[in-house]
Amino acid sequence: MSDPILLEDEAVEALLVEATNDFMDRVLHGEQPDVTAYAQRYPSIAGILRQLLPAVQSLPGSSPAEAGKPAADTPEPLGCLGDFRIIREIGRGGMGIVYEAEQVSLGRKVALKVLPLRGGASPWSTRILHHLLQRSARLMNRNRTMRSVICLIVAALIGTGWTTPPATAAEDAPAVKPSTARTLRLPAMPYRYAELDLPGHFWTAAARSFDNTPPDNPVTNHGATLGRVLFYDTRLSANNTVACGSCHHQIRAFVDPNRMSRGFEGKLTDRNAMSLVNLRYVQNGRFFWDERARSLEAQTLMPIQSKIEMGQDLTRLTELLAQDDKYPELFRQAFGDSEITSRRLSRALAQFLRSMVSYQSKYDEGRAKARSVRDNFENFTAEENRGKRLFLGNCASCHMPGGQDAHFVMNRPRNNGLDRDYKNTDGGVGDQTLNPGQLGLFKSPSLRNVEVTGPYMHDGRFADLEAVINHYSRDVKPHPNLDGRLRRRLNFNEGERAALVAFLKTLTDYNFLKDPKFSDPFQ
Amino acid sequence: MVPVQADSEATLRLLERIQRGERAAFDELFAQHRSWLRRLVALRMAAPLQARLDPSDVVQETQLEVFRRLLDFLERRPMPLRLWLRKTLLERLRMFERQHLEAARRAVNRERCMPESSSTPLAHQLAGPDSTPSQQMIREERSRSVRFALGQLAEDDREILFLRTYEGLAYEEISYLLEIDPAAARKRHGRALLRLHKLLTENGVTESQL
Repeated sequence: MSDPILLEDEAVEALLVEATNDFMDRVLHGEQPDVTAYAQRYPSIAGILRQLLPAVQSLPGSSPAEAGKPAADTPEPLGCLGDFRIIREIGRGGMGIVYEAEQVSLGRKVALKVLPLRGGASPWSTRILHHLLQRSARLMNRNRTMRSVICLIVAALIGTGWTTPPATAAEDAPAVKPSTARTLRLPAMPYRYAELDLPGHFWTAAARSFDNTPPDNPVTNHGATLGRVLFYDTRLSANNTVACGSCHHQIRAFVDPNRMSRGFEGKLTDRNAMSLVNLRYVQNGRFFWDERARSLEAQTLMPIQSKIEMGQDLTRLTELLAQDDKYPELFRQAFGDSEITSRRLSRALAQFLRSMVSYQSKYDEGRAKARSVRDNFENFTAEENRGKRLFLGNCASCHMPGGQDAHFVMNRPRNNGLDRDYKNTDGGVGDQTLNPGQLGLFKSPSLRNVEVTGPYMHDGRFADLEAVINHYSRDVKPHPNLDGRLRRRLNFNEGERAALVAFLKTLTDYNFLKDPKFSDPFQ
Repeated sequence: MVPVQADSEATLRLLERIQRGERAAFDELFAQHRSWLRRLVALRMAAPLQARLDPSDVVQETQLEVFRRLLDFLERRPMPLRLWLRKTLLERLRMFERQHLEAARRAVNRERCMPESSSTPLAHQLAGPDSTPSQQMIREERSRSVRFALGQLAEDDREILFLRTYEGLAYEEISYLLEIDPAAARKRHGRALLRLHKLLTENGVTESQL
């Protein structure tokens, strides 16, 4: 993410915009404006203009795609090492070899020092190596000011053949094989997506007010079926390798068990994939950690077109789907005729996502039999009921807002004190709105199935629920936009922390996690 | 959707004439946008492709596509004409890139670009008439430094720099494309410029080098 700019820079930014726009408009009209004249006209930013104006003028033939990459006449890389493309050897000595390399994910050049080990590279050392590379890359991601970085890598690399190290864990492997290599199998009668047997606490006026289903795109059985097929179709990515289901695994309540997800070209995203559970009940209808999508329909097209995630072109995609022997009929069933458009595609995906409602957890069973959520649930253990009381007393005002007890979803983004540093960390909503009062604010997914949706937080920093509870209990950091309710320490003791975790696990809905109507239809 | 500036009166009159079937009106309309579209191609075309394609090829293909789809556009009017032309052009460019860069049998990535790519005349026009080899070297070095700094920027920052500074889109048009308020687009542009300046400074690019 971008570094937030200090408030005092705002005046500088406004002047810069004015001067640069005027300068470049003249350049683009074939004039040769004098940089010195601009420096004189804007004396308070003269130094910046003398550097910046010639710079922006000098790059007419570049594109974002090529920016930062080696020039066209750069030698072929010698090999790849994790996120690094080795370009050439700079020098060698008793301590190892230094190479010029490119860090692919950031598109920048680095110096890479390789320390040889005796005995060759074992699978174990290769894993350590890959781990070190990932950590190094993360460190470099956090500090964009570094011009070059020396990485010390302990491995026996000389003469062992350089290739990208294997994935560190089985979970790194793509979850979905190319759909084109498999057969689409759908039931003769579509599954029931439209009419759900929701329990009573979903039908209260307060609970229903959270439903973001637009009047012009209600969930239908055929629409959600089409959405399901699209969700698992790898053709939604530019190179037929990644589907939505590649990073959103049903058994994990549609999250990615990895901290960051790999896109269609193997590049890593910069945030953890969000759970897709009960998106229908996100009251403000905004999506992504930074709430940049203003509707679920808009959200569905963004990962498809993202240059990191799926890299697909919507025109190409609709042309591809139109050539398929199944899709025209699926679109006809869903929308009345077989025309395939990106708008219909987004509507079908949104229908499928809105149909993903989890409502059959142990909590729901207990709630259905109790008069009030505050009563002890007869199907709960003493520890789970204790955890519920603690949750209602300390967590529910954020995670169960609006006088309902069904959705476990926040109705607005908040800062929960993850980082003290608000200038150089992910700004979340504030990076979208550029409102300093919203820096560090993030959307929170529903807590339903939270037991299986780790790692947690927007950057997946917490591996388990215990770490999350510990954070709220004693590790909340000061932040200008910290939610007021977190300014006091909750200081849960060990028993209370265990009880809270036990309660959160009652939100797991095993029927939902295995429901075939949400599963991959390509076999 | 963020409201966007409507087409100008002159553009609307041309579109009306096209709807009445006047072919000359279409030629006139496209001629008004041709140089801008050509510049967009030069900006957005991947470097390896520049050895194979001239921006004019892409613009020509775009013209054909625009002609083919224009009646549908006039019926629906989903966005202002200028943004629709841009969208169509970028789709065509992406198609070319896919054909040339992604098809294994034609992998242009294995080729070496000619040092004088087709966008060089445009670079000359914009960067100034460099008559001596040393001036050309300085320009190349400058371009490389800026390109490297742009590569270090976050994608959002880089994109808004291209949209406003290089493509010359108005903030209202950018706000339509990015689905943000025009004021936010302007602010984001300012931040991106300042970040570019900071990166250039951190990379040791001084005024004298530029």
